[in-house]
Parts: sequence; structure tokens; C-alpha cells
Amino acid sequence: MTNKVISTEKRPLINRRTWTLVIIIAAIGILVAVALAGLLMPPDAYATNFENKNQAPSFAHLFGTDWMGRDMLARTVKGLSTSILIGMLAAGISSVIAVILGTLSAVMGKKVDQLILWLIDMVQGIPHLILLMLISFMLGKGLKGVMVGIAISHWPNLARIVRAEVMSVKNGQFVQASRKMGRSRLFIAVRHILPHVIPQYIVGLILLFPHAILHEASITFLGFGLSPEEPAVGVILSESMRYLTSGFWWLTVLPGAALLVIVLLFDAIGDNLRTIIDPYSAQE
Amino acid sequence: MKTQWSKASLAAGLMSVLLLAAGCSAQAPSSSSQPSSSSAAVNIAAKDEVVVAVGGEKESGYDPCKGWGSHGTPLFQSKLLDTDTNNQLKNDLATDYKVSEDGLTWTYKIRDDVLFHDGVKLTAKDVAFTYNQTKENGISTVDLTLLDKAEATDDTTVVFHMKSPMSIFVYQTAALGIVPEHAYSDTYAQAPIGSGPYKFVQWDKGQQLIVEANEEYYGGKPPFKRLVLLFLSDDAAYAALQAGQVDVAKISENLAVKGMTGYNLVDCKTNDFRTVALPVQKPGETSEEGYPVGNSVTSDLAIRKALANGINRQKIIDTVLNGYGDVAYTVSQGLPWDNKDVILTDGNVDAAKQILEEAGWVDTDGDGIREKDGQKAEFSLIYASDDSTRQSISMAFSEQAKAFGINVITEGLSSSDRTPRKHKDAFMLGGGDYNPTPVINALYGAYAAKGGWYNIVAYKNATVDQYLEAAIAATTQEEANQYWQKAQWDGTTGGSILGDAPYIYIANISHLYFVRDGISIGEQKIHPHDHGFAVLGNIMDWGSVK
Amino acid sequence: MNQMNRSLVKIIAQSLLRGITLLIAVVIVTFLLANASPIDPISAYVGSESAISEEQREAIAEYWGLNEPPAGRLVSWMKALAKGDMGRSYYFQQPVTAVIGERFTQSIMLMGVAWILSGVFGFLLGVVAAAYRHRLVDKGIKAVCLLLSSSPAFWLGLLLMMVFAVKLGWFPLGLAAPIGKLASEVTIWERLHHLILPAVTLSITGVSSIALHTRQKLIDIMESDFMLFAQARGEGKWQAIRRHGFRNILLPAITLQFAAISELFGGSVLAENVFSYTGIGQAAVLAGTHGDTPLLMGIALFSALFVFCGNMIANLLYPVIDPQIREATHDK
Repeated sequence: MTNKVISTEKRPLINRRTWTLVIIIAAIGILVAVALAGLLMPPDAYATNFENKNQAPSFAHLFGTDWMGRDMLARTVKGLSTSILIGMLAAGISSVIAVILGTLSAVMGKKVDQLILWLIDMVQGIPHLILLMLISFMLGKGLKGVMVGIAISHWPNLARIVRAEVMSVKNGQFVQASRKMGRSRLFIAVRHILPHVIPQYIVGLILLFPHAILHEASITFLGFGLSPEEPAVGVILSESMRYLTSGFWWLTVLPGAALLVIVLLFDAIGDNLRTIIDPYSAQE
Repeated sequence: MKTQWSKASLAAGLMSVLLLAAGCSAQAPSSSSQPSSSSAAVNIAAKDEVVVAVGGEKESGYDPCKGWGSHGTPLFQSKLLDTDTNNQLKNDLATDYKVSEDGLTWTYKIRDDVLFHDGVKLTAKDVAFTYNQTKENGISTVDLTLLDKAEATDDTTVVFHMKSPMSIFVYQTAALGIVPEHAYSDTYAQAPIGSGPYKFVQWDKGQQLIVEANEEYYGGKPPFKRLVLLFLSDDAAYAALQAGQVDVAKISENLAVKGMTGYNLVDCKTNDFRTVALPVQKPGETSEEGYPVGNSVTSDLAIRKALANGINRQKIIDTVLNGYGDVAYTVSQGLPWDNKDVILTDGNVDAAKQILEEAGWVDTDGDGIREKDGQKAEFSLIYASDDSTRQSISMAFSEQAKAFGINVITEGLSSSDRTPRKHKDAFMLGGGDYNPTPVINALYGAYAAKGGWYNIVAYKNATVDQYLEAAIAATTQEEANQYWQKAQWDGTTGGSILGDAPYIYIANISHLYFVRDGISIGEQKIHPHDHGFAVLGNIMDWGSVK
Repeated sequence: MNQMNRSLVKIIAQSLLRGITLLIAVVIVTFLLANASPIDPISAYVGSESAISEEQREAIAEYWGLNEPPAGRLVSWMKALAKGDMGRSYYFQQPVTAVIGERFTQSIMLMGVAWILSGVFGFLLGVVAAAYRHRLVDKGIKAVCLLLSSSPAFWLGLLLMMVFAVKLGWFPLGLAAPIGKLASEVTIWERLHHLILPAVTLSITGVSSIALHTRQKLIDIMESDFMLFAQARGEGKWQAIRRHGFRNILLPAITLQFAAISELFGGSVLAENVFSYTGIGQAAVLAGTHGDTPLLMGIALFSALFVFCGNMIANLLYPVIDPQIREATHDK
């Protein structure tokens, strides 16, 4: 999907752009690798092995082992993979909701616009974490609660972006001209509006991942998310105090740093994409 | 952390209890001096305030009529009877008590010199009120269904009229703290008044309970002016120890092995068992609370028997508990009402495999998990998500079960989320006490899926019920003990692993405390399942040492 | 001026009306979410450790109105709500309003301190970064901001706690007051002492967005003609920033701070739980893990009200400080 966006750009590639592209592709590569590694990992890799507990990092266990002898690297990778997949699910569902509502809001007239803005305000009116807790509470906590919660609470920002973009294009001269030429609404939407909205939309989508991942970790930390034996980053980090007090600092610092890296990778993709799509307004 | 069905009174009292060695042993070398509290009290460096991280909090408050202190440590209130370090019953408020020949009338004489914290005198009326109130509430862990009514015949005599004989009633009188009739209300649990060694001062929910010495206490002068009881998670308690902010803290076996400078490790023996409860009914029914009852896999006797045989308890103790525990096959391992015949070869994987194969559970698709009639040998095992010990025992259980082809999916849930699943999934339970009530709580058919945490597996066996009722109705403890034993295994049937195996007992886990040098927590009683308060059971024996 | 006042009144009236409809919607959504949970309210009420008889169960159901259909319960709940009655917390055994009131005083102190910390530090960092644009300081600040905004705040809180409370012992481990102190004995200094670590943790959430935003704004302004002119006239960089820059970037930063109140509230849930700080966020988690539906609903509503107030202030500030935004909002 991202490649297509890039290829529709007609400007010649300058050196800096190539570099940006390299960063994007490398970041995507790492993220995909982590997600796949977690998906393909057999459960035995992070199974308990009580004879092997509390080991310091070594070549056999790069991140060491925890108090039940589980390999911390395997737990971390599996957990990050889960986080990325939850992020993808959240992004997928949010994007559908956001596109539909954002577009409706922009094209269906003032009444609908007001209604949808009101809806956005309502979802954003409850602090995010509290809303996640409520949803998770309703669904009896666990993985389902986290996934549903994250998926249906992250769309408002994206919907706002879509709405603003559609709004600005809608009144643009070429759209007006196209309308005068008798083109159908659908034609205008597909040919003129969509290509304009998609770049901003994709950047917004990518930047949604870090939010989703950090929220997943937070809600799990609070005890509303995944069960303590699940390989989830939030679970590992919620065990931090145990590891830090008993001197096994690497069991929390290494997974924490790994999560940080994943979030930074998403940030990097988002920012660099923005540079490519919109070199003038992008932050340096 | 929820109290899960260990019930009522401490202590073994009337019957000749095996002296279960000394309850506690300090392990660190620096603990060589453990003088008695009387000499400690003379010490000049006596501390005024002691901070104890007790672990679990009694969330519903401190009302004995609603279950507070039923493990024998009400702290604010005093009881008719108490137990000593050998688990013998001894008088507390009572000066004398007797039961009629037919077992229908219990008469207790009480002290005449006891004041409540508000200065009002405690009389037999308050005792009668407490018992009648508890019976009426019906939500206490102290079951008084068989009590008809309690009445005060004069200021120092209370008579209990039973509907039918109740051999375990005497233990209930060592479990129930007495509340003042004049100061009892709906909000009593939030700010209790009693006649115990410590007065309630302040309770910050989820954080701490502050209590002050009751200088008027009839049992002597309490050792510290003020106690602060902190409700911290294991990890937070360990952090608080490192920061030197607590004097006594309950800790998990994983943190215990690391040691702590300036503190002694005290290893208290317990009858606090951990067991895996396996629903015995087929799915279909719904409990009164509206929760589904039954499990299609664990309802198969072969599955339960295979687990009973195949699980290696000693290995769990060695690897998970770091050795801090003792193997348990029954609900009351080693106690007089325990059936000594209930024993198996620990970790007999071959026997487990054989049982499963004979029952038709075979691995047909080669995934390592057995199947029968298209049903996978697979079930969920629920544990308290905030209890790392239960988590690791559950996971070790799962790891071992997989070796003979049963897939146990562990799942940690918070208290409100595990309740709806207590009758349909396997549960990692804790319980245990120094009286026979845990036997009936676990097995009695009338308690099956009736709410609370008794008999959550919905076990119903008419023969076992008869034995249990006979044990309750027995008029001598020896007779009662025989029936308690038969309820577990009578040679053909019973509620133990030899019979229907509704529970796989694993271990009695030790309660571990770090105690600051300079403080003695006395000779501890053998702890029941209690979530941390039992350490205060002998508070009058605590003291400062140098 | 009169014109502006009138339009202000109009804006206030509009947003109040909007806010009220939003709050009603939040009430309904909260009720639906909380009531769809699988937890048996009676078991939650008596505590999961106790068994009760069928009659007692009936009596409690009657008392709580559980036998009514959901719509009826919603109506009676809203009626009670209108009278300021949010029901009774199972866990705390107190009216929900009392729990919230008591804990909110703790939380508002925490959030207030964190809000000021993140505002001041974010602003300063942003200004310094912009002033030394492209220099090492700027790059350093940007990197720190990125790292802070990308790491889970609760984890940073735990690390802070380990270093400053456990290892160094400078601050207490947690709680909102010293261990064993009676509520009446606690001094304001002790409260502040307990407040610092959680407040620092909480401010981490907001500091980087303020810093980056301020930096960007200031860079824009410094590139503007009048700043170039000012510097050409011989004013030093700092002098120019002080004279012309601050005025233009301070108010947007403050507005952003108000708009971030929702984040702040969410962040306080985490910070309070890391430090067992007895505020409203910790109560929310206790409510959620103990099946205390009335309290959870109460806190959700309260947080919505709180966020609404923050947004309202932000909305009122926008048009006051930036006529262009006012135009834009009126344009459709």
C-alpha cells in the first residue's frame, strides 16, 4: 500500500528522499519481522522451565529468564508481536470507521457534520484510559476486551483528519470544475478527493500505532488486559517492580527498551512518510 | 486476594492434636536470640510503633458477624475461646463451658471484667447478640445454621440452643469475635469497636489500617502502642523492605531466597493448602447466582484421577516454592480428622497415562493432547491474577499435565472476573484450618454451587453427605473424626483423590516473613489459610529484643 | 469590543448546550457499558467470599432495583443522578460521591502539580530548542522528547521509584501520606513530599508535546519578517524572543495544556497506580478489578465532566488569542 503511494509521486528522487525511503523500508522490515517471529513462534519457546529460573542474560537466553524460567527474549518478541497485531487490528477498524464518518461528515451537509462531530466529542469526552477500562470491564477483561477497546476507541483523531482533508479538497477549484462538467459524485470522490486524502490518512494511520501499543501495555499493566501468564509487553512491564527490587534489572530494562524501539520505528515510518508526501509542511 | 473457602475457627483443642512441631523457625543465623516477650518488654529500646505488611485486605470490613477474623485473629474483638501455639483450645472471654449429653445445649460462662473500647461493659447479652446476628446475616464464613438461638441467662452466662447436635460448634466459638450490641450498626464493619488488644483508629482502603493498643485489655498490656498494617502486593512489600519502611512483611518464596540485610526470614508452617478444584458435573446447569455449572472434561473421573496420580507435588514444592512447603494429598494433611490411607505415589506419570488410556483418552491427531469422542483433554485453570505463587503453581501444574497428554490452559483473573467461572473451570484454590470445617466445606452436597467458595466444584455424593452429617451430629470428637475420615475415603468411595477426586491437593505452603532485627514475633501458631493476618494471632507475644 | 463580548456569550452558550447533551450521552453509554458486564452485582455487593441465602439475594435485588428492566434502571439511575446521588460503592462501602470527592482532592493536587511541571518545563525546553535550532541542544531536546513520548509512562514511573525511593531513599515509596500517620496529623509538606514522584511521572506524558509545539511555533515566529527586522535593528536573539516571541507562543501553549486535560486524567490513572497514590485513578482501577459498577460509572462520568471543563476553557481561549481560529470556526 505504501509503495503505491510513493510510486504515484512524479517528482524526481533526490538523495534525501532515497534515504527517507530506506529508513521507511528498513523500519517496516523490522516490524514485519518481529510480528512474524511472534506469530510463528512455538509456545514452547516461552514455556515455563522451573529448573532454569532467574538466569542472567547469556547466549542461550539473550534477555535472561524470569522467575518461572521462561526465556525473556521469546516472551518479549511474542509480546511485541501481539502488540503490533493489536495495533494493526485497531488501525484497520479505526480506519474504516474514520473514513466512513470523516467522509460523511465532510460531504453530507451541516446536520450530519454536526452529528458526527458530536459523536467524536463524545468518544473523546471520556479519558481514553477510562473508556478502555469501561469497555474491558463490559467484556470481562482479557484479550477480547483489549482488542475491542483499542479498536473502537482510536478512530476519532483519524476521522478528524479525513474530515478536514475532504473538506479542503471539496471546495477546491478542480472539484468545482469537475462538478460543472457533470461528473457524478462517485467519480469526483474516487478521482479527485480520494487521492488527496489518502496520503494524510496513511500518515495518521501509522501514527495511530504507537498510541494503540502504549494503551495496550497500559491497560494490561492496570490488570484489565491480558492474563498474567500471556506473553504480553504490558504483563512483562507490570512485573517490573519484582525484577527491579530483586536485582534482575535486565528483565525489565531490556523488554522496556524493546517496546520503545518498536514505538520509535512506527514514529519513524510516520514522520518519514510525511516528508515524502508533503515535504513542505513536514516537521524537520 | 479473596478468602476462598477455608472456614471458621482455628485450633484443634478438645481432641488430642498431634503436636505439629513448632510452628515457626527463624532461618537467618542472626536470629539466634528469640527471647520470650516478657523479657523483651523490659527492654529499654522498645519500639512504640510496628509496621506490618500483611498482604491481603479484608475488603468488606471488620465485622465478625460478616466473616471478619474467622481464622482466629479478629484483633479488635475477643472471642469466647482462643487457641494456643499447640492448637489446643483455651479460654479467652469464656471462663468455663460445657455441652449437654444430647449435644443440644452449650453453656458458656464468661469473664466479668471485660470492657469494650468505648468503656461499656461486655456482658453475655453481647455474646448472644453476636451469635444471633451472625446466624441471621447468614453471610459469614462462620456457619451457624444448626444454631437455634443464643440467649443470655444472666450477665455472665450464655446458652446456645442447637437444632441438632453440632460437634464443630466449639470451633466456631474460637472463631467468632464478640461485637457490642449497643454500638452495632450497618457501618460497624468500617469502624469496629470490640474488646480485643487493639483499638481501631483509621482504615484507608487499599492502603493501611492503623490500630492502637487497648490499655484496658484484660489479657495484659499489648506490646506496641500502635500497629500499622499495610496492604501491599508482594513486590511492593519487598520494595518497602529494601527502603526500610516496614518492620514485618509477608513475602513470596521467590523473594525470600534473596535474603535481606537487617531482617530475619521467619518460615511459618501452615495448614494453608493449595489445591486444584475440578468441576465434577457435566455442563448444563446454572447456579443460583446465575453462573454456569460443570465442565465436559473435568467431569470425567479418569481425567481427575490421572491428574491426582500424575502430578509431582514434591517437584512443584522444590522448584516453584523453593522448598517452602509440604506435600499435601488431603484437605487436612496430618490432622486428627485426616484419613491417613489417602496417599498415592507422587508424580506417577505411568499410572496417569494408564488411567487415561483405559478410559479411552488417546492422542489420535499427534498433537500431544489426548482426545475422546472428539473432545480434547483440555480445560482452563483459573488463578488469582495478583498472586504470583498461585500463578506459578498453576503453570507448573499445567507443564506437568502436558507430559501425560492433558492440556491445562492457565488463566489469571481479577476477583470479580473469576467469580462467574468458579463452577465451570478448574480453580487454583487456597484454604485450610485447624478444625474439620474445611472437609465439610469442600465436600458437602448441600453447599454445591450455592454461592461463596464452598464446594464450588458442585460435588454431590450421598454416601459422603451421610458421613459428613454423622460427623457433625457426633457427640464425641473421636466419633466425629471417624466420620470425617470416612467422608474422604471409606474403602469404596469418598471425596478424596482415592475416591471421586474433585480436588487435587498439592501442598501446604509456608508463610514467609521478613522480620526486622530487634523485633520478635514470638512463637507463632501454625497458620491457617488467612491472607496474612494470622501472623498477628499471637500479637501479645510480640516484642522488642536487643 | 462589544461585538466580541456578544460572540463570546454565544460561544459559551453553544458549548454549554453541547456539553450537556454530550454528558447525557456519556451517562447512557457508561450505563450500557457497565451494565453489560458479566459480573453479578449481588455477589459483588456481598463480596465473593460469602454465600447468601435465596431470600437475602431477593432482598438485595429488590433494594438495588435489579429486578427492573434495564431501561427502568437507567431512568431511576438518571433521576438519582440529577439529585447528585451516584449510588453506593460496593468496595468502599460509601456513597460514590463521597469516594470521588475525597479522592479528587488528592488527584487534583497531583494533576495540578504535574500540569504546571509539564507546562513550565515543556515551554522552557521548547524555547531553548528553538533558540538553538539545529544545534546540539536542539537535537538533544528533540531526542529526549521523542523518547519520553514513546515510552510507557508507568514504566518510567517504576524506574524513577526504584532509583529515587528505593535506592536513594529521597522520596517515599508510595501512598499519599506517610505510613501510619493519621489523616489529621499529615502536614502539607508530607503531602507534597509524597506528591513529587507521581507528579513527575505524570508530567512526562505532557512535557514533550508542549515542548515540540512551542519549539515549532517559536521557529515560525523567528522566521517571520518582524523578527528578522527586529534582529536587523540590533536586538539580540533573546531580547527579540522575549519582546516579540513569548507573547505569541505563551497563550497557544496554555491552550494546548487545557486541551490535553483528557490525557492528563488518563495518565493520572497510571501514575497513581504505580505509586499507590490514593487518588481517583487508583479508585477507578480498584472499582474495575472488584466489580464495583456504581463507582466505575461514577468515575467515568466525573472524568467526562472534568475533560469537558478543560476543553471548554481551551475553546474559550482559542478565539480570544487567535482571531484566525475564530474565523475558521465560524466559516461553515
